[in-house]
Amino acid sequence: MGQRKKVPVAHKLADFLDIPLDTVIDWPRMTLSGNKNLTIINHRGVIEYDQTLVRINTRFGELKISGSGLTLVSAVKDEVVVDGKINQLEWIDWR
Amino acid sequence: MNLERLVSFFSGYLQLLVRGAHLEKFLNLLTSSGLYLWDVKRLGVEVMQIKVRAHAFLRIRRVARQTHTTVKIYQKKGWPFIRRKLVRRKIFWIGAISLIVFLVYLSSFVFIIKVNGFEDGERQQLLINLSRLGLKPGAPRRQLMQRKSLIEREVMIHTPGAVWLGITIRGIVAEVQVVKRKNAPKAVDSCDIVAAKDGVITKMVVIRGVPAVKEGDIVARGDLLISGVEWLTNPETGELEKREVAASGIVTAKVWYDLETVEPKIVWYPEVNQDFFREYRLRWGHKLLPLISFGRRPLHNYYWSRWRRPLYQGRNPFDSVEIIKDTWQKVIWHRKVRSRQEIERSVKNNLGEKLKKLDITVAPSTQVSTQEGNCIRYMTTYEKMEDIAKVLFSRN
Repeated sequence: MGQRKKVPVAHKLADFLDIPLDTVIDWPRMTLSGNKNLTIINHRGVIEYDQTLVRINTRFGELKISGSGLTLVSAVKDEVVVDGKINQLEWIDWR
Repeated sequence: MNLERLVSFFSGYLQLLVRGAHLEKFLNLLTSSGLYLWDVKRLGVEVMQIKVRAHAFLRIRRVARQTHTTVKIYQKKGWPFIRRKLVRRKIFWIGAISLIVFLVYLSSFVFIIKVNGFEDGERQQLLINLSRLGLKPGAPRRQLMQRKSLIEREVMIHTPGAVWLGITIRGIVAEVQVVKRKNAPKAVDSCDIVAAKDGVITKMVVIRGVPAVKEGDIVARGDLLISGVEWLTNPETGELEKREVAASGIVTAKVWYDLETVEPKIVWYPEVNQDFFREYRLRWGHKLLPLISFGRRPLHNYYWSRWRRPLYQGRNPFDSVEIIKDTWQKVIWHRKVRSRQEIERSVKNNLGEKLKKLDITVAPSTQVSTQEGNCIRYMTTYEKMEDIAKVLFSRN
């Protein structure tokens, strides 16, 4: 028998109260504007940065952004904004 | 984000070149320590360019030591650095202040003299007179303000063709407003009174001269009404003597006006659409500089209107600089067959303008309409009492 995964209380509470999960829990949130701009909130640091590839660490794994002319428009503790021509987004789940 | 950039500009920021093997670690350490980084660009394998606020540089050095990276200031930007640079440039400030002082000094003179009311030779003569009294390009404004009433008085004496003269000084422009003298017409020695229009004479009052017609007579245009030639018998010799006088009198006659109006039965009328193209332009002499435009310009079937505003009249006396706003509005044409009532209303409106010009207030005596293809021709006749006396100077 497989081990049953524990559901956190915060999740249950948010579910019960009909509150969107991303407002309660610090899950990473991404906003993609066309293929030009990507904003990632609640990240856990930049793993690799290049003009063609940006790898960003999050709570659930790694987000791989491929493109050309990539620039980190702004970088603060919880938020990073990637600008440039975004060709591919790849999610690598580590869990 | 723009606010952050604005704050960064006013607090000063640095453009740094970072070299090292662990640039991502360097970035993460900086962001986790609460620093705001922007415009991060990878320039090479181990080279990166970042922008940070100037006060965070000391913290960056500490992080750089931890990650074995070298940090070099590439450019210093923002208001504190600009201010420091400006403070050092003494010659620049001296030049700027000198320029302002020079402009203020120049604006204390009158450079343009505008004359309204006189033209050509009279204008030239007036300018010469004004120049003699001190009002010429390059004259100091303060002195002119003090001597304004004196100049006005003196120029009036030397300009017999003017009834009134006023000088207004606005900035560098002196505006001279002149009211021209209108001489009374010369006294007439002899003339006749003739009919200005065809009509039937209803009333005749002769002030001077010999009446040539009487009430009830039908006269044509140009017929003699009152003659300016009198034949008198000399009481001493008994001979007839010819005496020429200026004939005058009031000759009222019944006259008729025939007014013709042609009205189409089918008309096309435009309906202006809400879609418009608007363009703002700046005119500088003969040059037109486009400023801003909105919308899409229709290629055909449009209504065009123009609005223009000269910029600051005081410094722009010849309207050489102005803002022009052109608006093109798309129109849709509609075909309409007019009813009899509408046509008659239109005839009335059209006649109204003509009647106003002819000063006719009476009702029409007759109206005849004839149909010609898609049009209706109206002939309206008005009967009016009018003074038809007209002075004729030459008696040939």
